[in-house]
Amino acid sequence: MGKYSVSLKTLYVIFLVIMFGAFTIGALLIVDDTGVSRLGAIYLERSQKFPNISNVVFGVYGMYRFYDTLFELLIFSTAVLGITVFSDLEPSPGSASRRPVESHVVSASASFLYPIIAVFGIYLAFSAHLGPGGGFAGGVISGTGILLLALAKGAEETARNFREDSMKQLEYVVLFLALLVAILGALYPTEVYRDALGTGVITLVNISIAMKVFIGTWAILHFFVKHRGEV
Amino acid sequence: MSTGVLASAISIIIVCIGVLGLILKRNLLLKLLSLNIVNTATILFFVLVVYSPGDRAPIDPSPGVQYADPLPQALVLTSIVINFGVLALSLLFTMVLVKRYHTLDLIKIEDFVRREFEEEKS
Repeated sequence: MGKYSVSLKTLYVIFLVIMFGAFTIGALLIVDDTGVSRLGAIYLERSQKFPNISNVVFGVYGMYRFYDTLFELLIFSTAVLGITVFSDLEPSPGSASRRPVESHVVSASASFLYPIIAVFGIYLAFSAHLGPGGGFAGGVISGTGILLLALAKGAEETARNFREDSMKQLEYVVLFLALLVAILGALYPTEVYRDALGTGVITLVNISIAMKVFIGTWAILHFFVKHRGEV
Repeated sequence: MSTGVLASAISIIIVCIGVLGLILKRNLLLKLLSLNIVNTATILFFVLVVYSPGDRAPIDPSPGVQYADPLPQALVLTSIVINFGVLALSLLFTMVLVKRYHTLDLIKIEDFVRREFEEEKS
């Protein structure tokens, strides 16, 4: 059972996958058309009308294709919901008796590094419309920063300090906030994205995405920390 | 032939390796790992297929300068987060299966499920 024998079916599968790869690379060589796509050129040109959004990548996912982002947030919160439901159903195997890692290097470096990581994540979320960064990157950086804290000080204590239950309710508020901005942006695009209100609404979008990703990341990581085996 | 096309050919080869692992491996965790490899190679493909040397980052565009395409970068952002969510959820389901059947072998799990189904029927 452990080692599979090379059967005709296996060879057939390998042959098919290799043919797929060869055809795709061949098609790539024939087309050989790099450079900006038609849609990308349109986005680049159109973004000159919105002077307070200088990062065009944010313009694409936060303005022109905001529905992509909205449904992505929906998928992400569905995954987080599944994990939360299972985490409530299944008690963790003896996590109360487990102590955090007794390493002075980890705890000292965590208390030194965590403020820097948190500020960096918030900065990325706030300045996403100006330069490199974005709500996703900011949220993931803050969430994994909390993982560092959890490794140093223990997962349960960290979850208690961050009030995880109210955080999980905030997650859905944030989702509705993003939906509201999407509807308003579809109805009044120039008012929402360009005029005096503009930068505030854009920052609101980024902060809500960052909060969503941060809470979701922390919920997922906390689940896996809680249910880990003999580590 | 540009550098981007050659490099994205490499990412297609990585996709092939991942698909082979997805089909041929029996271990559920290795299957998920292969899925992750496919996803990462897809991200690599998206980034590399539009790459051409000398492009500037699409920040504060002005006419007359060559910029990188913003569209695949935005799509890749979406893909990374969905990859994370899907991987977490499928690891959770793997955990449920392992708790119930105490094995990661997919064929053994199928046998268990079939036996349970027949017992229920009889």
